[in-house]
Amino acid sequence: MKRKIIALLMSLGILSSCVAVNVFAEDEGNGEKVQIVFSEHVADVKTNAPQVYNIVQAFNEANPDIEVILESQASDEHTMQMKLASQTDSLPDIFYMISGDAKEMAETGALADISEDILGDAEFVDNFLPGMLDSMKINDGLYGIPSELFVNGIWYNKALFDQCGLEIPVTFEDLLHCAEVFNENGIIPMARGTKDVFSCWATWTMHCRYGFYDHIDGIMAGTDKWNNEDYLKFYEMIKTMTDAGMFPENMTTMGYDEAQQMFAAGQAAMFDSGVWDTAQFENSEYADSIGFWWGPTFSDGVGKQEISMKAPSHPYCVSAKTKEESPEKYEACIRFLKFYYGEEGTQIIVDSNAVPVTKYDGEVDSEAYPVYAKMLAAINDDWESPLVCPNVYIGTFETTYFESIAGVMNGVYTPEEAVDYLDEQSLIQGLVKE
Amino acid sequence: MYWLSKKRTKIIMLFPAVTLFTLYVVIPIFIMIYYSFYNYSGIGIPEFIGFQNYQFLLRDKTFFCSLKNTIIILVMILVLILPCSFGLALMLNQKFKGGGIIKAMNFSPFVIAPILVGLVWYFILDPKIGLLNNLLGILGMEGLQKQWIGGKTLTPYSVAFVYLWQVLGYYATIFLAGIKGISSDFYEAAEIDGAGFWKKTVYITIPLLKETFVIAVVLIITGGFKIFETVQQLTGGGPNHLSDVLVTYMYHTTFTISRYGYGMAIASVSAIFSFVCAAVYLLISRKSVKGEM
Amino acid sequence: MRKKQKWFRKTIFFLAVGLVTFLVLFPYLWIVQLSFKTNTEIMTTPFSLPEVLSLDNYKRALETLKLATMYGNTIYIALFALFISVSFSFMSSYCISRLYFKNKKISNTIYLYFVAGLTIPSYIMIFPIYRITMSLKMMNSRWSLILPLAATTLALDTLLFVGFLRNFPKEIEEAAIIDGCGIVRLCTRVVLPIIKPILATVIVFNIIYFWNEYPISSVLINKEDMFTISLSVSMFKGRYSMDYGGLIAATVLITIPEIIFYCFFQKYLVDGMTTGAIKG
Repeated sequence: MKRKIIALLMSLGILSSCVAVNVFAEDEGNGEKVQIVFSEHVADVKTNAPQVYNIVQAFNEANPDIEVILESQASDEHTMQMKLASQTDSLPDIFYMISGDAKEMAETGALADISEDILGDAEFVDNFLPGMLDSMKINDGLYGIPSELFVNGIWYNKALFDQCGLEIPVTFEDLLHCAEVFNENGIIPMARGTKDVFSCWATWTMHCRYGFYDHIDGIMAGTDKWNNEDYLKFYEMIKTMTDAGMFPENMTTMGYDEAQQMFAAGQAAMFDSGVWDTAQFENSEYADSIGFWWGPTFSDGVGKQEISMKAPSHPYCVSAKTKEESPEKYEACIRFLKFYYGEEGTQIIVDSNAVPVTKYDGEVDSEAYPVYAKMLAAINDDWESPLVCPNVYIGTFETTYFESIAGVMNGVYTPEEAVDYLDEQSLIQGLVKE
Repeated sequence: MYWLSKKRTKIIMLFPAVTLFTLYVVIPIFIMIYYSFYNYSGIGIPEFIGFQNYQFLLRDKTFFCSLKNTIIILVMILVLILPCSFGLALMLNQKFKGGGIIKAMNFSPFVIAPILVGLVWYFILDPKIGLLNNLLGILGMEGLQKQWIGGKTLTPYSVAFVYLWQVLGYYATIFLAGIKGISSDFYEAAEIDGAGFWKKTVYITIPLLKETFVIAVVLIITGGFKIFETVQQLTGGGPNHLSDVLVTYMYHTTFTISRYGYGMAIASVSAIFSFVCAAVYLLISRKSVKGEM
Repeated sequence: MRKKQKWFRKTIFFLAVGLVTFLVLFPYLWIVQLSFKTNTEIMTTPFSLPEVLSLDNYKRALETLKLATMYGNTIYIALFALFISVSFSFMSSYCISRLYFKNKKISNTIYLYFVAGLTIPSYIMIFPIYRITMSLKMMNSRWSLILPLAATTLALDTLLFVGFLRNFPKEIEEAAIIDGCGIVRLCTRVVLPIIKPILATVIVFNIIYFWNEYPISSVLINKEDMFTISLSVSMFKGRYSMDYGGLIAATVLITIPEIIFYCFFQKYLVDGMTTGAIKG
């Protein structure tokens, strides 16, 4: 008897889940709407990229003849899926892609050249902050538009500085002095988690102050090496920071999240990250004393020291198949992109406290959003930025680059070992185009 | 069984499993080996480079480091899991109130998403804020405080211990199923002869569970080679690949730095290792079982 | 004297079981406790009891996850995959372990063939399975997931079935054959009831595996309304960070049914198995 009941329950379970699943199944779609698929790289777009979600909603409402379908996966899975899709010619109409991979895709013809429709529209081009549209220009064609601005730097908690009687540092010597005082007072100078090797954003700007862009083209052409005087100075500087107790003792087991929370809870005075943490810090108890800084200048640096990082981030691309086979869909994609990067899109982005790649002249309520206001002020200051962020410039080699920095911080590599490792890996991984 | 074993019967019974298995498991293995001879970033057209990936592998320090870590973990878990989960199974075999719930509680670590297993054990094992070191400090045993994770040597041992925690209930369940399969006749006969609990266990239970032990060991060996999320969450394979195991190094190579071909070479070597270990063990145990019978 | 000894032994026994269970359970209980804390508290003060027993994480988890859809998808996939994998592997395992092969090497080779499948981690299979699915034109359907999942457990199921069948005395089956049983009846009426412990084990392991499987699901499914429970983890991943609070709350919500399922199954199928069968 019991067995029969179990069997009955199980078949009911199957039937009901079939029904439930059909009820929740997607719409067949009206025949009249043009549907385009837009694929993002966070699984929960509404929470983690609200500006994108809001723009899609607004666009769909304003354009009843087009329906933008938002698909999303977490970052790693998204990259995997896009690569797989490119092999089987099934890319979504518009999608986010890591720029190194996007450039490779462009070379194989998987991406649509949108230069006519975008660059041809002078007014639209004017909207953009300088240099934004150059990042995805390959061989006179335009293959993508940056999804957002890469603004990296060091967050600082003024309250903790005041507590220890310190000024916000300007030079590297200032920074080291602050580290000393903080350590005496039991405060961690800079939160960091090297388990997530990518979380060393501000150090790339520091590398720019040691001539990153003076050598990198030579390195990639095979005429220069990572093991050069300027770069060695950079890695020595990193070692100096570690030796001065700048970072938490257990940073090898800490990841980005732990470090971020350390800062948000007031246990650390500084934190290396970027604009994406604005919303997090607005909600912390230190929102009024959190500020943003481009990092220390170096007395033994190379070239201009007042460098900021306001470079284009990874792009949204349009699939070549869409352009070739469905002119209707392609036109819809272009309309969507013009909305996203136009006035309405920019306003929505600002309202969601994200940072647009287009110009924004409006006001921001600094009482309600102190951190965001400070961020926008930093973006509009006069410190120049390189055209490209170093990690974007070296494409898929970025992880190895991050590892070299983390290695010196962790004490696993000496500065010489770090640059030698990079030289070795450059050949192996094909960074050097022989 | 001779009368039932017509060729047609055999083929019909084997066909569905073999087909499905070949399609989704064996063919991917061949594809994996195929790509190990190419240079491929996941986009565009693969470039044939013959044995270069394997030649590189033999000179790759990181690969040997990850192999070493994998072996350490393997040996540790073999030594730890068998006695512990068998012991647990013996204990759970006794009838007592709430037995079902206790069994379920012991099984529960296995169902928790690996990402959370990593998070919780990070809070226990971290050298600075972890429970373990803090507890040792409170008990005055500072000498025993070590860098359980994030250091240069101890991580594989910690990973093995975390894996033990995860699968203790799982293997106990397997042993329990085996123990339940032993007819109570044997135990009754032994009791009549005056055997106590230990004698019964050593002379009846263990010998009759030979096959179960074989299964458990094969699963432990193949499972040990596949430990992935635990390492990722505790140390990310770091610092700088010092605590990588074969799978995490393969994942890094294939998906993080997009060297798909080399990653598949690592995967092929790792799969061969795993298979050889398991197969050798199976053949040895088969001979000894046959010998006894 | 004897009574005292017995009582003494029983206490030690309970203490031992209790201790082991507590040690095993402790981290899980800790996770539950963490689910009531805010993200900041989790990272910075993991040991102290939560300041406020907040249900925020649970609210977020329920908002973020469309639990009904996810459960529906997962149950559908799990049940079909379970049926396929258990029936296929039972048939082939029975064949390998019981039926007569003139050349013993064939059955051993087939056995090793299946066991080889255990050595491959799922991440390796992602690309090939994706291509196979694409060429069979099955993308984004639940069946594109059911078939690979069933295939990947065939190795484990075969290992378990063959191992146990080899251990089992053949008398009952031989008696049934002499009574004129055909193979189908033999399997379903005679063998299946006897192997209940191992059948239950296989079913539980398979369901847990389908419930928690991540790599293959993450690659074959990209529409939010087809997400399974295991993909719920990825819903909490931000661009760089992780909403651990929400994730922990979601995990508690998800693992409780799994544990209840395990409780239920092993209670009804494992205990009291062969009492009548062999003697009678």
